[in-house]
Amino acid sequence: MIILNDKKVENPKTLLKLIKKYAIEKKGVCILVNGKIVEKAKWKNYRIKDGDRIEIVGFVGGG
Amino acid sequence: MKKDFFEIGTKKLKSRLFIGTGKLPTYKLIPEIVKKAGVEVLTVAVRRIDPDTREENILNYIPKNVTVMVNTSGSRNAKEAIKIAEIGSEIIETDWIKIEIEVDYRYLLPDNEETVKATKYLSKKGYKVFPYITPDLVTARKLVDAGACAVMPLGSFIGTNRGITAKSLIEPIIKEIDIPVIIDAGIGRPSHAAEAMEMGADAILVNTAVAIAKDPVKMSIALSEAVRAGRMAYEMGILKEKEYADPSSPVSDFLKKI
Repeated sequence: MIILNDKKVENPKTLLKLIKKYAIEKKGVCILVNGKIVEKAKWKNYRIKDGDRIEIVGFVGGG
Repeated sequence: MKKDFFEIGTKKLKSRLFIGTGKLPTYKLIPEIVKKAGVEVLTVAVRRIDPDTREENILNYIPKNVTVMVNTSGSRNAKEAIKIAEIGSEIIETDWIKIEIEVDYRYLLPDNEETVKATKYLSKKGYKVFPYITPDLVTARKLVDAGACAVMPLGSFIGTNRGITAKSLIEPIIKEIDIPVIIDAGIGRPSHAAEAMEMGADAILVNTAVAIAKDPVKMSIALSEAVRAGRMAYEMGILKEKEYADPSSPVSDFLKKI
């Protein structure tokens, strides 16, 4: 299990699989694993460990 | 008349009206606002994306030629603001960052001290930093030294539509520092926008007034026209006020002679 935006979910193994699982547009998001930014180029091979805290963040309207 | 563009953050811009995209009823309005009001800079914020809901991606509505300025709102100190800046430039290739650090939630007053720290760090890293501050000349000078591209003093509290109530504190900043001054927050009407320009501000950033207007596109047009009018007047030289009347028509005494 991993913690995705505060919710416990199954470990999808890699960040690319995580994005695909939730059908999130690759464009416009940034992923943080345990508070550290993981660059898009590294998503494919990035192995998610059980217990990792993952945040998916993106742009919203703001002033 | 002077050149019709101004330089800021290594870009040459024609429009002195920057628009914030918060609180818009729909992102679908963004392309029309950009087109009709001639906007070249938009601000966005960074938030968590809920994987379970299909939220619209604001980037799909921002035209390619627009510069995206990432706002660090939500950050409570320099460290968090820096993190948001790094996230922003990972999401898209932008190095334009508006530093907004707040720990006061009633008035949404920025923390000037933390803002100077974040500006120093990010400017050294090559970001184009636009710090939002409570108007204070001493802080503005520190921001110039820290490498800021501009300073963004608040006209009045965020979202209050009160206009430039902090005028007497902003004027010395415009007068004394050499980097652009963008009046941010509080601008609720075209007359406020024109006033900012007449004061000599280089640009304004407006969000609420556009976003909550009955017709945000129309409001953005009204603001852009006011900005142009105010700027033109400033370039002509704002006339001094006089105590006594000064006739506009030629004075003649011929009536006495007939």
